[in-house]
Amino acid sequence: MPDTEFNEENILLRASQGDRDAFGQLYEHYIERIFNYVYYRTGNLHDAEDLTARVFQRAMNHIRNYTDRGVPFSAWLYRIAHNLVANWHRDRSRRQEIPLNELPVVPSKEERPETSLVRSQEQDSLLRLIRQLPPERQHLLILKFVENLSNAEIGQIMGRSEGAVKSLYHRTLLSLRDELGAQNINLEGE
Amino acid sequence: MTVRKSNLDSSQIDAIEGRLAGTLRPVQPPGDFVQRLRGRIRFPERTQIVLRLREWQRLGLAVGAVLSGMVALLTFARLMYQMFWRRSG
Repeated sequence: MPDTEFNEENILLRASQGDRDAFGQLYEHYIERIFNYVYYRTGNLHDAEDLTARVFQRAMNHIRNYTDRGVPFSAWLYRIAHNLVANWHRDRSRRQEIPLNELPVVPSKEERPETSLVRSQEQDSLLRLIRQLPPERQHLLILKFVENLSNAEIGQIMGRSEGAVKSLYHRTLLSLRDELGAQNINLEGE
Repeated sequence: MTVRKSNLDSSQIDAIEGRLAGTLRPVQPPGDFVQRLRGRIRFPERTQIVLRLREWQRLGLAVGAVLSGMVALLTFARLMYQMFWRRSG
């Protein structure tokens, strides 16, 4: 949906007054972003669907209480998603270990479905490493690479300054470099 | 003990970013899932959900009544069998 047609302020106002159609527009606008976030945080397609659905159900139930505090609406949605994913990880760690090879296979936007099935081992390793990072670092990487947001935009969503995001990103790259090195994955190999 | 460098050179940054860009690609949520959730969000209205629940309650009540009736019938049949058929046999 082009941004010119999407007047978020107005739509939010209507949605917070119980306009279901307005909430539907918010849903259409944010479904992919939230799904991507949950998908990369869980690494499981079915749970990603379930949790994404719960994010929007919860948002719909609480949209009347939403107040604009000068942060993007997406930050509010990501907060809900973050809490649900955190609960999911807690419940899951109580019940069982996550099989490491349980990696999602969903075609990315650009690639052909059959190509997505052939995910390289190194990408799998990297995904596993990413999911072992602290949640805020995972969030940062998802916003940066999946959504292609700038540090300033990420800062708005994560409630940090642009400089803090830059610093966090640098520390994240450092720890990934060290972990990749520990797993004998050659960075210069590409 | 291995000493880890606390800085990254530009080639390392490029290499890690290249890998991240190749791994963290936007995915399309399954179409049927988006459609299903859209339906749940836009429709039905709460009143319709309540009505539907009432229908389910009614259906449950009907199924329960039929099952209870069948159990009662079976018990009566067994009683008759015990009292007359088996005794005369």
